[in-house]
Amino acid sequence: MRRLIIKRIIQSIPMLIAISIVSFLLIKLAPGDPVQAYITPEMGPVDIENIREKMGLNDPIYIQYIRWITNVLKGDLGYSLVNHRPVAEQIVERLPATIGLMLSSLLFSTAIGIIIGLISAANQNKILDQVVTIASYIGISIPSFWFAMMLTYFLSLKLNLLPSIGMRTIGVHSTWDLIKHTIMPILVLSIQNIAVIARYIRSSTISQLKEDYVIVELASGASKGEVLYKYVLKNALLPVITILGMSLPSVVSGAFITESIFGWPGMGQLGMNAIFSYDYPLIMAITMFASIMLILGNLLSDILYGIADPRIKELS
Amino acid sequence: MNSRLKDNLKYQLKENKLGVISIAIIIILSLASMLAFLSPYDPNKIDVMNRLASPSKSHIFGTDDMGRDYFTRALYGGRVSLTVGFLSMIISTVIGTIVGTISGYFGGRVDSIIMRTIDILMSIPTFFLILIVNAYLKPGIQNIIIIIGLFSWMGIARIVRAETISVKEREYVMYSKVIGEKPSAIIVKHIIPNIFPTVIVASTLNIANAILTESSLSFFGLGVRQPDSSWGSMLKYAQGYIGEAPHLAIFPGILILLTVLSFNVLGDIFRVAFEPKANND
Repeated sequence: MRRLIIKRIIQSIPMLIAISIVSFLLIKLAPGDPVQAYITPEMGPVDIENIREKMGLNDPIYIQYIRWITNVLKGDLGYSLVNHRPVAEQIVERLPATIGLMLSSLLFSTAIGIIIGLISAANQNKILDQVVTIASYIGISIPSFWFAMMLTYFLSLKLNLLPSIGMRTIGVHSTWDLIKHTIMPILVLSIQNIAVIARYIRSSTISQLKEDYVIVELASGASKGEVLYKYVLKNALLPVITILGMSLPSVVSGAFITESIFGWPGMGQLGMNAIFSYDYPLIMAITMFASIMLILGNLLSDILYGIADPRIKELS
Repeated sequence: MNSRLKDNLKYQLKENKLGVISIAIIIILSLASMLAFLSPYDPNKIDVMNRLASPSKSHIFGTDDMGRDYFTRALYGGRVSLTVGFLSMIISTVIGTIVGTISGYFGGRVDSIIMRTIDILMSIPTFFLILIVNAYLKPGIQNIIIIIGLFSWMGIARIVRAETISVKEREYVMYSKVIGEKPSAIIVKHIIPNIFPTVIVASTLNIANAILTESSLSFFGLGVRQPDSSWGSMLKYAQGYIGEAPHLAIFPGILILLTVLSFNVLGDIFRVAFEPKANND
């Protein structure tokens, strides 16, 4: 097991390097000259050339990359072009809100997805099952920003039940207030995963129900519910870990959309604002952070799968 | 496509009512947007007296903030959304098929380099990347098509590669190799025709995703922009009037949902018809 984990960690190192190169190129390929930000009207061409030399912009690109990556490894991600604060500081500030939102959404969608999938499978081809099938098609097809708009319109504007923006009401420090702010963002971020997991659990439960052990259990007098929860669920559950790993990219992308619509003070909102204000150092750092989160998430799901499935443990 | 697959497809469509409905929706929406010019209303004619009118008999989708007929505008918007979805699907399918067959056919080092590259590309949040590139370039329909196409071939390449690996072990491919046919000829003549059903499945689902991506980009103002409009960009403007005219937000959203849903259903039906093994219920 330990060897498997170490192997997977080593495998992700080249990916991290490649992603750092892509992020670096993103800023290099950006339109506009970075020197522009430092030029004042009274500067002549010589001064500009001096700045260029000082910033290291005349060095070959690989030297610039090495210098940049050394700084990054030291925790120096540069300064925002807009508010001139250190990029690393801003990301650290925003990280808890994003990770909290993503984790709650993953937990929520897994729980709801499994329940819906099981109910649907237990009622295969009945009306309830057909409703779930159509609902899960809607879940994977609905544009998340539109779903957010509709929720805001009905729940905030019409019924005035939930706040539509931010994470807390200013001046209010209750948990209930936080929960009220969280409901819509979590729903929007989770809807697609709920549908994916429900569909998966449904089809794997249905195929499990055809297995010999289920027939034996049923024949010896176990009730259908008992078989479902005691045996079938256990077997159907394992690959959910992999599904969650695979759905991470859409959760990360979804976080950008969800956060910026609901004004959620996380990394996604920071990233969207950075794009609109062409704040390159911030864009680059967020691309890198989001990618690292994806790689770590996949690593974690592989490791969890290895721990949960004894067959893989033996293989290593 | 051989006749067995055709029969499977017919059977699936007969069995699955959702499939027939989806095909009908796709055909109706495509025809309606192509024939948008038949509408009695000019999509750009401003009528301030009639602004933000609710849906009625004369304006079935109501009117927008400048009094323009929203139904006609939605048809023209559909043109853009469907075109972007379809053309970027073509780009990503072509790239995905070429890369996937090369990777699967040659194997070895070529394969591992290509697959690692795909792994890396897939671990960068694509939506964010597309946003960045779109912000760098001048947003416009042509750029969006190219960018979405260039960033969404990886999934297709993976599927095509897996399929190629299984097809290349068949006797007729072996035979062509032995008689000295060039790899490019073998790929074009023997491999691609055999993996074609798989490609159709992947590309149908790809259209759905491309339409979703375009609408999100346009919603954030980094996709289709004025004077062009798509369902996504209509929603961007609808956001400002959601309190007084919610119909502006409801209709384009439902159109996107219906279109994407239909392509997703269709993709699943193709999959079940073409790969009976994949059908586990």
